[in-house]
Amino acid sequence: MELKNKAITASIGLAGFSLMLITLMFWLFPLQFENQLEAIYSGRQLIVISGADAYAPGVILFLVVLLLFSIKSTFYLIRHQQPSVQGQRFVKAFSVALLFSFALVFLGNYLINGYFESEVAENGYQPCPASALLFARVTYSVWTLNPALCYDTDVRHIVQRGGWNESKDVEQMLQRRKKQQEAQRQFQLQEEQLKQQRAQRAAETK
Amino acid sequence: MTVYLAQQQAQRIQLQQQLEKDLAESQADIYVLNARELTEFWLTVQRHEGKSQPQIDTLYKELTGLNLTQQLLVSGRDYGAAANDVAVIAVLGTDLKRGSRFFETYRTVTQNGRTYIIFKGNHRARLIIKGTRYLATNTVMLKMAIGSEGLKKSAKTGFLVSVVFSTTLHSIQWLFEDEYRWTNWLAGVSTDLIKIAIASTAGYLASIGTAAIMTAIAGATIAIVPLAVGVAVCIGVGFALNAIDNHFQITQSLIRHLEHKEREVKRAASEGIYYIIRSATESVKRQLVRSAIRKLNDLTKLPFQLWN
Repeated sequence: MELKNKAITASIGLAGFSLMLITLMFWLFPLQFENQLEAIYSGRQLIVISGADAYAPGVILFLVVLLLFSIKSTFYLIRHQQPSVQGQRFVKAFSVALLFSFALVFLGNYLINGYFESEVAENGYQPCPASALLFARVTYSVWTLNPALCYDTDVRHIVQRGGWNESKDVEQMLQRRKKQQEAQRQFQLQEEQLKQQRAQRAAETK
Repeated sequence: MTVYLAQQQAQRIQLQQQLEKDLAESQADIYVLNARELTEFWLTVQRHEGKSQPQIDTLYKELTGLNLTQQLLVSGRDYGAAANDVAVIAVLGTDLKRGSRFFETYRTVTQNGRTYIIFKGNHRARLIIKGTRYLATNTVMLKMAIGSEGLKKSAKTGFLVSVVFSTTLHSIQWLFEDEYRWTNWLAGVSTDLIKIAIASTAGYLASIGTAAIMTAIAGATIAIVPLAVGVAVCIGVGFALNAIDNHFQITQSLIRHLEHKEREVKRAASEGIYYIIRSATESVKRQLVRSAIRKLNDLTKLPFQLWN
């Protein structure tokens, strides 16, 4: 009886936890997925792709099966007193479903990551070596249109965690750098013109 | 009083031993033995039961119809007849299974022309295997963690591996990258550890919950299902925590906070040093002026004082 009560508590707890995690993932997954897609088609010089996000659809499916299992288990445990052959069949059926959805977690990850990688490569991006950027973030990969950026000190200073805003910060930094270079070029051009004018005046006075 | 305390101590030791035994029994050892190894296993059991060598030989011949020494020599050289292997495994397996002394059920499989017996051994089987040098070195043993203690062990191992992995990677990055500062290291490691701890605890609780439900419904649990639940929940919680971290910029805020604190400490330290230097300089200056005036007063011998 004590075991049964514990099992009922466990199944209610598991159902609550699954429901909470599903809700959380339904809120977070579109945000992450949107950021990924936005980055892929943004045309920014450097983007960060998270490989772990691709687990989310499979995990959501797994949690739905787990939620169904825990809800059905609660009712089953309330109705039945002892372990039975019918119970064994019930557990076996849900075990198969859980293991099947568990396999889908990894299959989904493989397929979604494959899709992301092909899309990124199609948009002209090349992967940065794993040791160049985000070394400690093993599930993240950095892709760039200009491979020199993988070893750029300013880029290394910005890309530290692989957050969605870091790619935008890199883009802003590159634009600032471009403007600075443009200004420097203009300044050098003006300097050159002034030198030439001075040289001309000196030649005229002579 | 002393007797009571001794009784209490003895009871505590007994409970501790019982607990250790229960924990050991909540793990299942799966053994894979060939005909030669099973014969060694059977021989060890007979010796443990106090039988003499001639008695063992006779019993073996009665059961299998084969000569023990000859069979050991033939199967030891790896060219035992497959038919003999099957007969030996079937007969000895049934003999050892009698009364559930070492295992309750077994399966035989044939792989690459050799027959093997597979069974889930109890603690007595473990003692026999570990106590025989030949079996301890040759037997293929798969440890399947079943029960809450096994799941706890798996969760702990997973947690430790993740902690070591994360800390090592962050430390390597700190050592080799100039742009990666101590603030990044501290914030990265601490948030990673928190995420790992939460995800591991959630995975562990989900897996023991699943095991408890399955046991209550069916009377037993399929070991891989609670493990799969634990892993999937761990991945799910890890994803959620990572997404929350990215969304609310928790680690970045922590890095910024640490850098702000570092600047404050540096400023306070430099202000302190400046205050000390300034005070010391003023004090030295005052001393110099006083001594100079004293000297002037002494030289002029004037009754009035220029200073003080």
